[in-house]
Amino acid sequence: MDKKTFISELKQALSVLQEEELNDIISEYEQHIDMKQKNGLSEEEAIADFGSLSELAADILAAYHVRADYAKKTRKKAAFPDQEKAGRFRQQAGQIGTKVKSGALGGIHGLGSLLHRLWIFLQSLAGKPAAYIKNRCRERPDMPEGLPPDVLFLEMGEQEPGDAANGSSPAKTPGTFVSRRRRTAEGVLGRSIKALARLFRFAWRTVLWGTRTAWNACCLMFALFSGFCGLFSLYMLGMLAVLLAQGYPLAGVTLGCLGLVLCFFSAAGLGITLLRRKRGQHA
Amino acid sequence: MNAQFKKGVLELIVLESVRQRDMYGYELVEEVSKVVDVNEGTIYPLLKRLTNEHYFETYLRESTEGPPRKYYHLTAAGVLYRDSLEREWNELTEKVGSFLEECRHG
Repeated sequence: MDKKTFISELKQALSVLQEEELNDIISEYEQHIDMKQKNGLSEEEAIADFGSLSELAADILAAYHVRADYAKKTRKKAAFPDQEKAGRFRQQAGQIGTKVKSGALGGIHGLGSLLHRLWIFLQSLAGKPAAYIKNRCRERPDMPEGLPPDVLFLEMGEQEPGDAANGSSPAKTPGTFVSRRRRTAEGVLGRSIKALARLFRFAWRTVLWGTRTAWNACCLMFALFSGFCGLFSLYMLGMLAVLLAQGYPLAGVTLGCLGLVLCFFSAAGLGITLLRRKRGQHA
Repeated sequence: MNAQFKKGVLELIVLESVRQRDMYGYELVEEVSKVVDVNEGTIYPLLKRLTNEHYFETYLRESTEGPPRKYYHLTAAGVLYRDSLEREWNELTEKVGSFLEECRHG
């Protein structure tokens, strides 16, 4: 074995070591071979004096408390770095893909849910009168011929609103046909008022919700701040207690710290108590 | 000489050699080879281990014959360790010697 091969194989066998250490060892062996050559030995003879390369590498690794077979395993792994990297990349890409997919699905689902709620809200504002008219105005298959087109059918058990309220005229018999024009004109004002009332109620609820949320956020911040201060004071109290036990004159400070602990934890409790919940959540 | 004997005593010989004066690797191998016939390859790992355990410290010194050489110097911990090894060695040789003597006469 020539010097170049020996050094190369030794480097490979010790590749588990840090670069700096490895270079240090290699330079030492190179120097040793050079000196032996100066003393008249050939390169092969100088290297043969080291004995078995695997035993030499094992001895060196033992000096670093490293298992000799660990380097072999590492070399085997290093023989297929591309496949390993590709496998790792595939795994990471798969994980990212799954996350993106679930995130996108969640986002679409959330958007759909939001749109659906908005649609229901708009329906509640404007759709109900329309549905009312639609229900009332649907024509019966058995509507007699010759009636004007603005006539609608009263359901069974239903009365004209105007009739029931003022009692001016006798109630229409259910199942009879009444003028749609007259009924629509009477209901427009009432429906508008209802829609306005609903809008006002919504605005009022929004204001209430905003106020409650702001209040709760303030209370929670206050409680958290007090809690953290309480924990810190408790830590300080522990330290002071230890110092006090060791004989330091810290009785007054320790007592003050105990007071602080109690104050902060009480404040935290107060902050939690002041949190406003929706009705029905108190239980 | 028996390989196990050599292995056991090698550490003490190396420590004692460096205690007398600071040496570089090749020089140390030659010094140890005067006492026991040892594979050169085993000396360097031993030097590395003793350095890692802080019994040796190393420094570079310029050489007229080539690149700078790494010299080994025995630390205070190394001196104590060497003394303890010597004590153990003396005890061992004394006990083994007396045992063999007894066997010879008995």
